[in-house]
Amino acid sequence: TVIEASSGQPLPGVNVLLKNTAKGTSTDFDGNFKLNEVPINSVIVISYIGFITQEITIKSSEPINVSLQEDAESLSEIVVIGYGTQKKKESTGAVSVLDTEAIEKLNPQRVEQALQGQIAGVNVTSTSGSPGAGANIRIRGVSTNGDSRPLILVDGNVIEDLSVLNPNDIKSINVLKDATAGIYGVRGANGVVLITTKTGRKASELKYSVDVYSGFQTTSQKIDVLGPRDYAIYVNDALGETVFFEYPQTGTDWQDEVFQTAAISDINFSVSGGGEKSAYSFGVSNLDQDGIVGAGKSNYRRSTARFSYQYDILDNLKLSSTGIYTNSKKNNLGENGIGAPLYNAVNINPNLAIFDIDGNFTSPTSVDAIEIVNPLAQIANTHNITTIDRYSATLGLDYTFFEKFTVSSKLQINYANVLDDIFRPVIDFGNNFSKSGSVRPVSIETDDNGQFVSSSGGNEIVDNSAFFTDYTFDGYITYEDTFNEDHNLTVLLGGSAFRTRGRFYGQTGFVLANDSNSVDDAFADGSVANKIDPVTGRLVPRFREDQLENGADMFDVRLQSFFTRVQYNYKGKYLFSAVLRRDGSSRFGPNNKFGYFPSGSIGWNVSDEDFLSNSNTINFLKLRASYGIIGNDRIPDFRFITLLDNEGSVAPGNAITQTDILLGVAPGVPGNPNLKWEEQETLNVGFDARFFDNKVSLTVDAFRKQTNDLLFDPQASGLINTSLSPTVFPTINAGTVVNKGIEFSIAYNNSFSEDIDFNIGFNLTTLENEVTSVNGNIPPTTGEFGVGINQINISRMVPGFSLGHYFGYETNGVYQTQAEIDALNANAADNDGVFHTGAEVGDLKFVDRNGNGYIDEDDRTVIGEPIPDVTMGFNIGFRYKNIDFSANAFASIGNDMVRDYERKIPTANIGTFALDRWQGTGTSNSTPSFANGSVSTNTFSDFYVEDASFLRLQNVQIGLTFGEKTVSSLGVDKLRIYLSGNNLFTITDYSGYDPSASTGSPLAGTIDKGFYPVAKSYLVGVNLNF
Amino acid sequence: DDFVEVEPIPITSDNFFNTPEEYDDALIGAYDLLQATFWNVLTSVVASDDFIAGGDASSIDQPTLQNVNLMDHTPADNNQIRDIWTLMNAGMNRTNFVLQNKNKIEFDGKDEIIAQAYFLRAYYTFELAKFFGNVPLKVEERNGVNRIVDIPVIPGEQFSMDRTESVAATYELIEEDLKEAIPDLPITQDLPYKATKGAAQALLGKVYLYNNKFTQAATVLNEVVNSGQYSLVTGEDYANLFTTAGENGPESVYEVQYTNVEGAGWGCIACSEGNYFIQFNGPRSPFNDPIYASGWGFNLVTPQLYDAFDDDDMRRDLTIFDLRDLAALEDNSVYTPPNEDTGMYNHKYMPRKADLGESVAQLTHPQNYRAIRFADVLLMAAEAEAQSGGSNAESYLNQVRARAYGNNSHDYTAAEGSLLDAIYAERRKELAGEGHRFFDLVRTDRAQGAFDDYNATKPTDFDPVTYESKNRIFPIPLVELELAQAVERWGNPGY
Repeated sequence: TVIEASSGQPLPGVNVLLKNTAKGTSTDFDGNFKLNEVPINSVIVISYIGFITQEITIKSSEPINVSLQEDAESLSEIVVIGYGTQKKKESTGAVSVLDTEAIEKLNPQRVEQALQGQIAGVNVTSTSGSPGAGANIRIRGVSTNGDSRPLILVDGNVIEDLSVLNPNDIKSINVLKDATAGIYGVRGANGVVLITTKTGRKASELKYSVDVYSGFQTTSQKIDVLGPRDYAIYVNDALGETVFFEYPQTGTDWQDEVFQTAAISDINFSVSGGGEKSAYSFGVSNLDQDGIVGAGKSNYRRSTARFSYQYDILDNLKLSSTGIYTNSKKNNLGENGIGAPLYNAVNINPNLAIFDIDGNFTSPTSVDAIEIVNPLAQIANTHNITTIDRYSATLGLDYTFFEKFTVSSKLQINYANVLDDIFRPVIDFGNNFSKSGSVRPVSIETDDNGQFVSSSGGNEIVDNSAFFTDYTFDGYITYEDTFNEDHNLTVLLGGSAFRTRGRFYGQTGFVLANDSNSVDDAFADGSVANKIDPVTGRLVPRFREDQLENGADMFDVRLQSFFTRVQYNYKGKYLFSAVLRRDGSSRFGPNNKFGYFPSGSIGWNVSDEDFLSNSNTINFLKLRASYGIIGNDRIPDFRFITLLDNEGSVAPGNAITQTDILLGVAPGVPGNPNLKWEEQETLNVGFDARFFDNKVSLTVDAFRKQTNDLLFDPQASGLINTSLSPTVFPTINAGTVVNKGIEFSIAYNNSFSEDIDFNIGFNLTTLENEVTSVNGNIPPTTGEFGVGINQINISRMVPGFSLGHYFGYETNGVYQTQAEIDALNANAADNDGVFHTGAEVGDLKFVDRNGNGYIDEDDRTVIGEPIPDVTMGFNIGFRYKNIDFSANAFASIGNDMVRDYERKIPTANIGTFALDRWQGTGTSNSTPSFANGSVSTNTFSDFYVEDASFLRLQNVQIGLTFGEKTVSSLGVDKLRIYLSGNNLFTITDYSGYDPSASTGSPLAGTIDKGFYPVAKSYLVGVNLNF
Repeated sequence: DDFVEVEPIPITSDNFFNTPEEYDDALIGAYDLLQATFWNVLTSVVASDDFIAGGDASSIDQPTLQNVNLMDHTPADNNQIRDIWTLMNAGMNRTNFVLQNKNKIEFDGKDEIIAQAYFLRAYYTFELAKFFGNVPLKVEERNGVNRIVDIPVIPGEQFSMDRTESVAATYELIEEDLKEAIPDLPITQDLPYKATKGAAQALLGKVYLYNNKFTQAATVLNEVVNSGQYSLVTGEDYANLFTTAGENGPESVYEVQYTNVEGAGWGCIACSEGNYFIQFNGPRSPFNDPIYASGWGFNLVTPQLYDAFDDDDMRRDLTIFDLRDLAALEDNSVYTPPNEDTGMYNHKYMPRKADLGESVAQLTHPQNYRAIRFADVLLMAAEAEAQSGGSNAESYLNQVRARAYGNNSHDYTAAEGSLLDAIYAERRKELAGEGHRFFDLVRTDRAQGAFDDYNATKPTDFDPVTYESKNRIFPIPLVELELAQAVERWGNPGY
């Protein structure tokens, strides 16, 4: 009997051959085979596509059981290259593949988590550790100022929000990193991630698999802040007056209260099989995850169902289809911002108790820092739920004629409905804050007949609904032929049309009926709209008519493309490929609607040459090079023309209700008719090699990516402003950015015996990012530091420097004595004898970089860069008999973050580094006194920029597989149980929550206002196949 | 290829002004920026010698306002100063969008719409000129005089635009807009937000005063006085002069309209239909009063302003909300002292509980800003007459005084000193807390003296004001100079 080693299931159709004879057979449906008249001590060869061939010496007539190992190398032999596949050996592009096995080992909740550290050149940063939160995927650095996300296709279907995908459903992830992504033209500039989902196998019996895990999560990091006593001393010092007369010894550790141990559980069930002409697969899953902040208040639940079905209608006509349904529900808490629960937990007075003597949440008073509220009260009173229903489906037909031609047509459709339900009760958080920041006494005025006249204050319920639909239709013809046995030619010619549309509806209601302030009433029927009384059938006004607002908006974006690809190789040795694509996008105006994107690549399988073909050391060696231009159209719609979409309304002077307000029109963001495609020129040179019986594999790539006419919305002069909120600016082609780097990955795989497998891998990416020019000499800038302290535009795009570098003052210690300040003032005649305006002893000393004798704006300089110099991934795995172990880690070196999660006012709490503050001449020369009103302490300087290099152990897993003998009697093919730990430790000098976090914005993305840390999780799981 | 031709949603600017209603709609869009002038009022009140910035005592609360208060502001200051710059320019561009299309179709009533647009452009330009002096404008010669071009600033033009040659030249451009608007504006309007002939004339008179054209100022202001449309309110109406009950009354020549019936958010403060200036004037929490609501604790009245009023001057209590008794308790549970506390607040524009409206209530205070009051017109007319040798100055001054004291016992006498000085002193008291004082001091060259007086008499623990001649105008924020590549071209004289 032949079985599959990983699943324990029988393998049908396996070739069994008596060595050096023509005698052979193949296994039946149950994996059984029978060979007659086999001499003792002869050798049989058992082979099957995708598995490592085994040779077995026959010693007796006893039945033999063979367990075939999957051959990772040959599985990935096929790479997906867009509108087709290719043998990896013949591919000329920089393509990386991540297979099922690798994904399973990581046990990710989201697909992105599986990519981090696994593939050189792919960097994944988390936007938040909260359940269901997204992550940013960056392929080979940040090459655009706008939207740096790669194009993500699931079975050819554009799915930008990967949260809808269950990682267990994925068969492989292919990442196109170089110009060969040019087949996707305008959408491929940031790289392309091609995901294929699992399918069944033809002629295989019905198989079931169940994967379950469950566990708990805790925070991976706490910020060290002052305790009650130290805080009291600090506040007294900083304010220069005695606010706290007694120094309390005990208080509240707010972070301990806010962070919770949170549960997580996941269950997957899938079925697959196939008939003679069909293959099918079906799966359902449910993930339920609480957040480490607020537990159930940030719960995320995702249910998915998917199917895949292939059917050979005729020998030359094949149908394939997939469908995915996802339903998710996410409870949202505020994050990474001023006023978010974590921000409050770090900044709130540690002497304050959580509850008062009546058991109610305490409210900070005027003694405590302003705008900081009890984070537990805040969490308890947040009711904000996002529900997503999403349907994705694909349908494809391939028709082959004259043997060499295949016509393919594929249709991909997505539909999503996103609902937001928010209730803001009236709560007094103290310090003048309630609901969305206001205390509003509810008062309702009625006339003599009891009819409603007006109301003021009260709670608020928001009900938003958005519908998104998109479809892609691809049609292409492939011609594949071989001439004279040595010349292999593949020609692809095709077209694609893409359309996406959205509709939004929003309603906001104020003041629940019957003066209710309860969330149950608010969410009773899940909608703001007036509801029907189920008993009487009459409309029950939930809100008064005039308290309902309506809104609607929409978009419609289309893309139309034609493409061709020619691939040629000679004896599989000399490889050549060229791509040309023409794209038309509705995002651009008549002047620049269409663009042409060419690319080409070559390869040489050196190991096929005679001089290497018999080498025992080098089993495989391929040299590759590619060059091409790819486009980017990821900008908001209609930026080439001015729309009348600005707010323009007036109070006419007699408004009693909202409908009395006069709505007008006003021009929106000024249109830029000359807006054109952003283009990337990408050069890639690399090689793939395998050594020592294919046990060591090595891939090295060097790349240079130059982005021309970078699309961006930089700040613009107020002179062209038309808006009330001048934060949206015209989109321009802003300049040029170059990313250069080297990717290196090496892996060692070996089976020492039937009982021992071992693998180890390492990858490294270096990245050098430089802005080489900026159109119009106006460096785009953005980013705000602190709260209302006048520090804007700290992150910049300036030629000669990296994209998004931090710009501020360099510090040089702390002013120790007044004499020191006086001496500096004496040389500052040009500034009325003031060296550093407002500076006093104990303040941070700034460097007069331009040497004009005093500190001014021109002394600011580059004080940090958010882009890492080097990123590295490590993974290791071994199996001894039925015990397996794997671990992987990721490191990022040279990335800086801005520490901005402190409120920076004397009555807010602060990190324990303040214990070393300056307290008199000769005390500290690095940490200032934090005295109230200090100018330099509140100014953006390198004091707030920290090296956020880190090394993180991302995953450790130990599994135990029960042998066939134990479980087959139970009707089970395979049973594995495992323990898994994620993010067990992070080594970093950074003092904030998460050195790997970013908002994803190229500029100002790593200004840390309290990023939600990644969770440390401990899981126990079971894989069961039967 | 037609597949990728998508009709833009919503309509584009090229395909508008096809019906009279579309002219109305675009004009409403242009009016909207008047509501954003709460920043202008706030900043100018803080700048004056009669008010202290205040705010949270334990942090640098609104650093730009603190700097403006002490006249320490530099081009590096953004916040309110930059808001004034960008929002008033938005008003200019929206108004020019209407004017650019003024000849697209013809219909009855169009002349009045265009006249209102010229009034608005004058209003926005005047705000810019008061703060920033000779601002950059696109100028052309039309009918023999220099006029602002009736086209919004097109992206790219900011890199070559120059400042107008002088502040006087800027005022002349404003004068021309108002002169064009006045003939086509009606004496009264159906809705209070719309500009009337009287509003345009009063604004023109004010611009003439700023431009030291006293004869012309007297002429046009006398027309407003003699129009019979306006009067000083007394009695109960006087008590309500600054409350919602007294809005758009007989004394109102022009008011910026605000309302609390629509919500607003911190994400776009200027999008509010309410008056955020009001929030700054309330005492800091906790402050519990049956009538007044708490606020941010800014705009504290100086003791010097309090002392300027006689005991029997009704304006003292109308102008000053006196919490010194409460402050003296030094009890943090009932009173939070703001920075440089004087215990006295701007009563004219205090937040009131009865006015609190839609969320966020801090942003949606409904009190209108009394942009031009008849009392202001009388005092401007008096000043113009006094400067140009007219005969009505004393009578106009006495009308204002008689209303303040309830009788004629305080009429002007020569013993007080010069009539002009008496008018200046009256403006200070009559218009305190309304945002006129700082600019009045600058245009009459009395700012240096006033701030020197303040420094000489201020409480010793308060910071001195470092007013210099460069502070006559505010610096254009450095970031705006950079964004227009105009660091050299526009500069900021003295900064």
